[in-house]
Amino acid sequence: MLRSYVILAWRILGRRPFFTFVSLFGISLTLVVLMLATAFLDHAFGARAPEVNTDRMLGVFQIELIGEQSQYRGEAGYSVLAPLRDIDLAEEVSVGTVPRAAVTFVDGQKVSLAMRWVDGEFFRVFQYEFLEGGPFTDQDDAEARPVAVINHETRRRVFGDEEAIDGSIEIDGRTFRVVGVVENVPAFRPASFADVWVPISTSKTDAYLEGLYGSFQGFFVAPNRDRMPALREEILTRLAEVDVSTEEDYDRLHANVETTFDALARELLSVPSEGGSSPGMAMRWLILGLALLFMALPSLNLINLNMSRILERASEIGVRKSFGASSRTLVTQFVIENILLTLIGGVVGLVLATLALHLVSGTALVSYAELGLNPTIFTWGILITLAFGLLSGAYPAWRMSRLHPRQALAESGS
Amino acid sequence: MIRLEHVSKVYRTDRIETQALDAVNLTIADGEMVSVMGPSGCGKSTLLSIMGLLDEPSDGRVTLDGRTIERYDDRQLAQLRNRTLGFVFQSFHLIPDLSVLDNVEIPLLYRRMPARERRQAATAALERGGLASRLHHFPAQLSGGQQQRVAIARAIVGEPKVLLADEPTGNLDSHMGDEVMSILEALNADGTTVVMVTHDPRMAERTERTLRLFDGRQVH
Amino acid sequence: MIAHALKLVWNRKRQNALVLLELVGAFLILFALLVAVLGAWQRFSVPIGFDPEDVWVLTARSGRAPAPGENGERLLTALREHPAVQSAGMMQMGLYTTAGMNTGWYDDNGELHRAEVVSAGPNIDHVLGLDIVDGRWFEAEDQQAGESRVVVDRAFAETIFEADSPVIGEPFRLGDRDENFRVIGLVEHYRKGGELTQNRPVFFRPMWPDEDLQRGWFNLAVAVQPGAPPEVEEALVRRLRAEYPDWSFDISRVEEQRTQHLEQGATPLIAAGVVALFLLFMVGLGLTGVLWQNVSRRTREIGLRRAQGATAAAVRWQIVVELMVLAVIGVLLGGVFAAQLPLLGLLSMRLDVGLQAFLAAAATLLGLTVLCGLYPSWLASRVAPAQALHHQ
Repeated sequence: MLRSYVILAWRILGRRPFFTFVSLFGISLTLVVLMLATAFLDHAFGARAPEVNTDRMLGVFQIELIGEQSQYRGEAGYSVLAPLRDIDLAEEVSVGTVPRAAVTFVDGQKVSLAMRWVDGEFFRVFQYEFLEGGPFTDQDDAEARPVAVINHETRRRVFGDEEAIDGSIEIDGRTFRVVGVVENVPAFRPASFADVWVPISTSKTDAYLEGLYGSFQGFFVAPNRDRMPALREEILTRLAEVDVSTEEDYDRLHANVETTFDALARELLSVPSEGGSSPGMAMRWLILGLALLFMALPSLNLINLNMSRILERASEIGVRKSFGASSRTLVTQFVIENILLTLIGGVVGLVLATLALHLVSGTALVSYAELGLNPTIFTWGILITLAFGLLSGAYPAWRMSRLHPRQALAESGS
Repeated sequence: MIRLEHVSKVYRTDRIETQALDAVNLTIADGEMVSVMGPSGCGKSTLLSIMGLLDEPSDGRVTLDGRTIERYDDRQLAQLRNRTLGFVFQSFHLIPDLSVLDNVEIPLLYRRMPARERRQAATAALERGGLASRLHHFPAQLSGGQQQRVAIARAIVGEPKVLLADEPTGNLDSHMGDEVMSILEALNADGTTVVMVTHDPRMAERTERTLRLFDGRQVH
Repeated sequence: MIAHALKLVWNRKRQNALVLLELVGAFLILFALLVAVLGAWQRFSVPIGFDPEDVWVLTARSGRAPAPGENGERLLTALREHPAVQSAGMMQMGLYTTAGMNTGWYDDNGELHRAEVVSAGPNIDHVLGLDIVDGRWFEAEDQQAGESRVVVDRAFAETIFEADSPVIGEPFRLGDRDENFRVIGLVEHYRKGGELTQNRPVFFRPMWPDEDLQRGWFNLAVAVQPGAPPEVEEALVRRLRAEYPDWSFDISRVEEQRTQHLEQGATPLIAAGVVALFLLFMVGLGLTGVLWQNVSRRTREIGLRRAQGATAAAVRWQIVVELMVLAVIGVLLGGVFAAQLPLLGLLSMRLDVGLQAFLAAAATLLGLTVLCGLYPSWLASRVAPAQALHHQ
């Protein structure tokens, strides 16, 4: 039965090249855009190296110091986060700065670098792909050894074809010895992106040791997802104990302990840091809503096209009903026709999306974005296609099947 | 084979009520060939759609092949139409997007018959109608008489007990009309009950019995 | 003709509802795109008030509070020693950044005003090529003036002073704040955020390089000789490092920042534009299909009209006008929706930009519908009366 429906649908599509083309065009276009968006989202939020632990990692990305008159919102000082290293509930705890601009010169040419000062545990929280060498250790940090991990792009620009490991790189007037080279991380991964990583203790002054505000973030990896709420509570309790009295203007400290996705969503959606529901959830709904909104127009287009063909096909429907097709059979037939159409469009769309992804990756629109098709995106593409087929086929099919056979036959008769 | 008891049909639009059939009683025996005549708008086509279970009477009872239709359930009706009835229309109503063979296969499709058997049966039905060379043509490539022969092949491919024909010769010239009429007669001779709506007296004369309708009532 | 078309549209309201919905959707997409593009264009066409050519900005950061005695003068002197440097000045914020200081105050009518406060030192007018239309820039004598002297831009002057009244030498206060200001100079524009940022009132406060630093970061702007080679960048950074070894210095060419700023602003617009164009193309094809189908379904009606004396041109128009009536309704409905956006505060747009975008979107959509109607209406005009009456 199904097979004959498919064959039938195939023939009908072949007989109407214009309509088939219009439908296919809309479907594949929609799919290309949605797949590009999916690829981008997966790249930005999916659990991929180095952020393989994102789904069980909590961070203190920013803190707020709140006083009668003043308010500070920004990264925390080292002294706020360093004591949290002994929290037992966490498998790993790391403290490091956000990326800061730094420069190095290669043959008189300036190379701008995003540089992070991090501890040794940072490389256990974030699993960077080491292309050469390896990470520096807690020991390196404790002894303030001037060592650095650089990304592939920096290696290419600074060292070219020469050996990079044990080579030296001068950043802001200080010389570091390169111990590892990692794969590039795109700039839209704010927790792990950087060009250079060096031990915290190699900072030019000891000023970072004091003060409640600075440029540090804390990362806490729970053993599993179930332990995350407990870990969050513990971190919050410990942060509540921080002595704020050293700062004249502020009375208390507030911080959100959240996942990278939540933190980014909070930033993008400007969710207030206190009160406010889960920004991650809001973000997911927003993305879903936008996707549906975007699919609405192509769907409407397809529905209208299908609807306009109902009367053209009235006689067909009348005949089928006369010869024993029930309404349900007809709905099935039309929906299958539409799904077949969308699947063909889906295949075309996948091919085009692959090409488009290739093009986007080629242009350096976003630093170090290597977008590509992967099983996740592929699965999403197929799901989107099927949803699309159902969405745009169901209503016209229902309307078609409701045509009264006698009326249907009369409509197109003489 | 078909019995209508006190069957009425009223069409309602926003403002107007039209009485298409008014308390019609009739019985058509197994193997009969009956024609239905009457002026335009007398309810001939309505009568045929009610016999063919394409439409529901406003009042009265329809019995088909010994079964009285109590509930007009879409799926049951679909099955009954599929097994018991075959239709031929004035304007053929072939599906333009499908080949001749595909068109004829339609009734079998809804019987969940395997593809190969479907193909064989449809080919056989077309060969009987002298269309063996046209299997893969599309309706638009055929003459009117050929199209109607395809439509008849489609109507009989499922070997229905009753063939309902709505002005089968209405769109054909007299030569082609005769040809179609002969096919219907041959089918009747093989035992199929044939009910034919027509306003051509010459065609009506060739049937055993003629029912006359006027303003939705049966007149003799 | 129009009334007739309206009647036809109304009588087929059920089929038309979905087409209408599609037209409204297409209109809204067009409108949103045009608001973004026209808004960007309108901002782009206002001068930025400075000249990025051969200007470099050095950013200094200490990562701590500044120590007493640390000031910018030493660094400026060091920079001026280099032969490639033509002039140098100090300022708090860099260029092509949205970060900045803002201030707000209520005027006598209780209305809230906002302005950007830019701290900049002597010479910055030369370095950045500021367009001073009246008065002068900060000079050494202002440091001991005993009053807060400021340079303002035209937009700021207009929010503070009556139109056409003198500005230079005039005193003013911000709402009920204590500080008294006096205007010594007027610039036409100053938009440090760059071409694609909103134009808003600005006033400059002096920043004196020989005073102790207030913050652990600041910027130095230098005008260099045209075509200064990259080695100069390294030389300048090393020179500054020699003065303050535990500070970090970054250097950027403002022209490059400008290119990056424009690219970053244009990329999402281009991406959205490409997607929107494809969507519109698809909608156009879809509408053509719907019309085509309409025409072939209505052959008898069209034939009848022809038989009753309609010319081929009249039939042709009928098909197009029917879709255009729908499109006009769609535009009006879409306009009602679009008007909600600024009301809800979802889209900050200027009224004139919104109006332009509305008109441009409406014109495009109507143009599209005419285009869609071309082929089907041609088909319709070819229907011969006789052929139509014998349809099937």
